[in-house]
Amino acid sequence: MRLGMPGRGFRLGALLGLAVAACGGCGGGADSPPVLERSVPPVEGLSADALRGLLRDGSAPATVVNVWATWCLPCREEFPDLVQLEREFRPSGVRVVLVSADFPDRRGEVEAFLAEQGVGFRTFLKQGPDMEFIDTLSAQWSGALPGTFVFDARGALQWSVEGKTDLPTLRRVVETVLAGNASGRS
Amino acid sequence: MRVLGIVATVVLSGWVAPAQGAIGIGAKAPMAGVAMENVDGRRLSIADAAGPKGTLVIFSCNHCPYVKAWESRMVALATDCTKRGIGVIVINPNDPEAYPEDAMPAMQQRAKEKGYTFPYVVDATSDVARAFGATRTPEVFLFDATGALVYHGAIDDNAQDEAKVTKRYLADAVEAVLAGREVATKETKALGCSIKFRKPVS
Repeated sequence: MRLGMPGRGFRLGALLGLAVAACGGCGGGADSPPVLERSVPPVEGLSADALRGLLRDGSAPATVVNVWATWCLPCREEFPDLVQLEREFRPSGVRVVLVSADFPDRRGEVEAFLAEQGVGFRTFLKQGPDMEFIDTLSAQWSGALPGTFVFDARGALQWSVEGKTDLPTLRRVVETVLAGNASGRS
Repeated sequence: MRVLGIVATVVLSGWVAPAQGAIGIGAKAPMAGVAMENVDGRRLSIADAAGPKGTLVIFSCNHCPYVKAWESRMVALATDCTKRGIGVIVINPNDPEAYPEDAMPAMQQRAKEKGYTFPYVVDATSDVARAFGATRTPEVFLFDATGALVYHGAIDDNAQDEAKVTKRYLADAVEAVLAGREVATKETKALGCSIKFRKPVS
């Protein structure tokens, strides 16, 4: 699997530190929330080839892929649900793969948004031609953002949606895919 | 939300039915007679914009980074089309409530700044985009002289970097139409901003 183009980490702690410093005398003391040192793992490049490898590596019972962008309003609106989904299903080994479709010169904005959302797992920036990337996820996807795709343990697409989705829907789909794996459905 | 596909037993009750997708190759432009407000104050339809050798319909908007990235190429190509007998109409189907940058005053400013030589109109109900099955901006539909769709999809294969374009899909399709040849690559896809449809009027 080629993941190429290692990115820069982004430390939310620095931003929060600045915010606290700017706040100065606006309360605080023992009741103040602690300054969190949350770091966002480097955003890695992801080509269609690498995506195919990732989907078929057999390391997760289900993989949820979401393609988003910082400037995309519905993407931003649904993003907390995807982060929550990852938290809830991490113990089951479910993998949430967030792929930013921002242009590479917006890596800073991508990392800032990931930090703001409290994303602590590896995420990606789309690399290479659009059409191959789109069709690797689903031939039915037009390429409109956001797009969310749920694959089973074998890397077979089980469900997908173009446009905003939500946590209850995703929970239901992931649980159904996990149940399908367990029952040995082919 | 457009549920694209549900495989095997994941089907649960209450799912949204999949959308029909875009009009197919060979189809005529739907809602071609619907007049839409242009940036110059006139009201124009797709039929009004049609050229003797074909018609290029582009769903576009102001706010989308993909539109911005492709815009200089789009304007150059569309201007070339109008000079060579292919009519052009650029249609903004987005709800400006969601993206204020897509409201008419901003459209007028953009058309002026970027030197649009063709209509840039508002699809005030988003119904024209719905009828085409368009989902994103930019998304192009090229019709030949008989009014049949001959190309649907992206402008080329690299929004971000013109120097790295290897396939000029729309330019090649335009040349084929003007030469009376069959378009080689009829449908392509690219990442784009999803259209923010206005709520349907029931």
